[in-house]
Amino acid sequence: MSNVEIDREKIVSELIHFFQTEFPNPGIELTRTSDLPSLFLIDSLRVLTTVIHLEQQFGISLVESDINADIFQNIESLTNFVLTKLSTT
Amino acid sequence: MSFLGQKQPTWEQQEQNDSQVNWGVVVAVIGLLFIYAYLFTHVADWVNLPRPQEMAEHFGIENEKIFDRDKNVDSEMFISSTRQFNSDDERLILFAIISCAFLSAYFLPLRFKKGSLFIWFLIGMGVLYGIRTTTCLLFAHWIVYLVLHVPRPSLKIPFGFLAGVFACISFAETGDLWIKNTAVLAGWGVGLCLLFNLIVWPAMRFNLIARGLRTLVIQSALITVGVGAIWQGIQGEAWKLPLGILLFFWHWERLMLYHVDYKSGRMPKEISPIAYLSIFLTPASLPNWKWGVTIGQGYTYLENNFYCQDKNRLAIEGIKIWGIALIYLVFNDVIRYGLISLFEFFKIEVYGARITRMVSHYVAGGEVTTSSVLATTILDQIRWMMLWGGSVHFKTGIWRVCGYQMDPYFNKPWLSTNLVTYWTRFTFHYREFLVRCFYYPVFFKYFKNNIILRVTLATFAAVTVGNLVWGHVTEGMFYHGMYFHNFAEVLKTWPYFVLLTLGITVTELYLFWMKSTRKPWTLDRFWFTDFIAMYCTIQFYCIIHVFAKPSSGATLTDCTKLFLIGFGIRVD
Repeated sequence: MSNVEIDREKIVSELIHFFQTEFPNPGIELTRTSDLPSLFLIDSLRVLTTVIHLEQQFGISLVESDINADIFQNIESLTNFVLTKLSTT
Repeated sequence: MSFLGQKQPTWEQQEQNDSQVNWGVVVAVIGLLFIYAYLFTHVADWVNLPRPQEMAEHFGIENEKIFDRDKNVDSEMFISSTRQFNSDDERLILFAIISCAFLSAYFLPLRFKKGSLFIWFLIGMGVLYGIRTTTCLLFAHWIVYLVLHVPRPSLKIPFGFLAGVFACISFAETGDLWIKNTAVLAGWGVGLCLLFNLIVWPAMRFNLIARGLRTLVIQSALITVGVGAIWQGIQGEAWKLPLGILLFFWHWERLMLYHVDYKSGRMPKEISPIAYLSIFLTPASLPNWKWGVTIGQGYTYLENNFYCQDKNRLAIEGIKIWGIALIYLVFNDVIRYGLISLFEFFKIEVYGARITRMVSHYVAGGEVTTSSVLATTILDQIRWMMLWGGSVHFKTGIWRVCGYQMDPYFNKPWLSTNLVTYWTRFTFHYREFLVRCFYYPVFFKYFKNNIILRVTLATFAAVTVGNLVWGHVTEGMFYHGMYFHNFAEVLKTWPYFVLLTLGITVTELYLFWMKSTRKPWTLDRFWFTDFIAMYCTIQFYCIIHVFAKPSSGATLTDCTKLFLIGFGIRVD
């Protein structure tokens, strides 16, 4: 397993832990492809909480245009985004 | 409703969503529009049916609050700022245009759908407002288009010439001789063509000038309002704007959202004129032009929501919201007067559900009780919401039957258990405008290491600055005229904005730190606390309107005293 893959797994598990503890949704199993906008990120405050968490946890900086359904679609897309940001900082 | 919106559908997905024709849905949409026409126009006479009031009386329903003198249903749906026809005829034209727009959007191939909506808008606008006003509106948007999307070299001359043609039809005096008019038209065309090709576009090669010009056209409404108010204050003479320009200015919030999309790179720099114009000029703009002007937002929201699901499902969603709109439009007054009677039965004076009347009564030395303040402020909001509910839900329905998955402006605000949710549910599209244009730019730039300052400043930027200046000041001036007095009057309502900012900031910070594992309105032993939270949220939002709707002569001290009476505190 390469370093990138190890990092990816760490980020995935960290994000799953974050969503399950911050926005508990009993009865819903959170997987890599679960639809975040309809299940967890249902309002602006939750999105901003996620933004603050990403910035603090991974040391990345987000901009306004990062707030979109492509990036926040699921754990997989969010992980790809974090990896991309980490590779450019 | 999803805060993040839809993921933009691919062309293949949109074609798939356009593939099934369901004649039942087509008949239902046209049938519902016929019911609207029957209730709100003279169509009953044309098709030899009893008028709505006669029909209602036949079924034993008699209510003077529903019907007007010509035995149709009295309606708050109208065509703003024009008197080409009487209200019933205007509405009939509107329903005919919407029917045609729906059929075009439903049956035409995908690539023609948006263009057809724009064409039906032009026809409707031309008939309802006249050619000159329509062209004037088109001219203003054409200038925005030419500044934001500089055309490729082969199109620069015809597009510049077209700007002159639009300007000529909008502003030039017409003569009797066609040859003279043609010469004037050509003169304006050549003049603006030269202006754009020799001055504007070459100057826009400099980044600073390009950015300045783009901001100038996008902020033209606010700049006009500010300069107009100062001019009136100094010279004593208020500006009168051509109607087409005034109607264009009512798009200022959507233009700002479009500009946000433009600057963020979320839209192509080069788009066709039809693609641009069809964003702003659609049949959904025609009814109650000045109400719910943010519905539709900017570029990406509409792109993401166009044919993002099966067109029949979208149309059914449109039918549903038209049904709700119908209830608001027909029973608005019945419910309002019913509520007033109910409170009066319990000996609580509610001043016709108007805060301004209550303030006037208090300023004149009248006694106002705590229960009156609480009830009147809530009833005034209910009155406003029902007044707007019919119109904004009808607009949303037009977007939906024409293929857009449009979020409702109001989305069951009575289910909100905190101010943040309430803000989203009460005026969704307007809140999006404030969040994207004011909240985000501050939130993503300042105090990244301090949550309290970060949230407070961002909320202040959106709820106080954006809401007051770009929302209420501009709107107030366009409603009541560009007088310095009006400008000052709106600024006097600042306590409302500050209190709302405080309320939302405290709620945001509370929700950041106090995590809840329970969904609101779950049927458990905490259900009653949801009810209490809902009441407190709504009551707070309503009572701060004492500052937003003062009557003339009321001072800040009067409003503060009245506000405190609402909490049972009397300061004499």
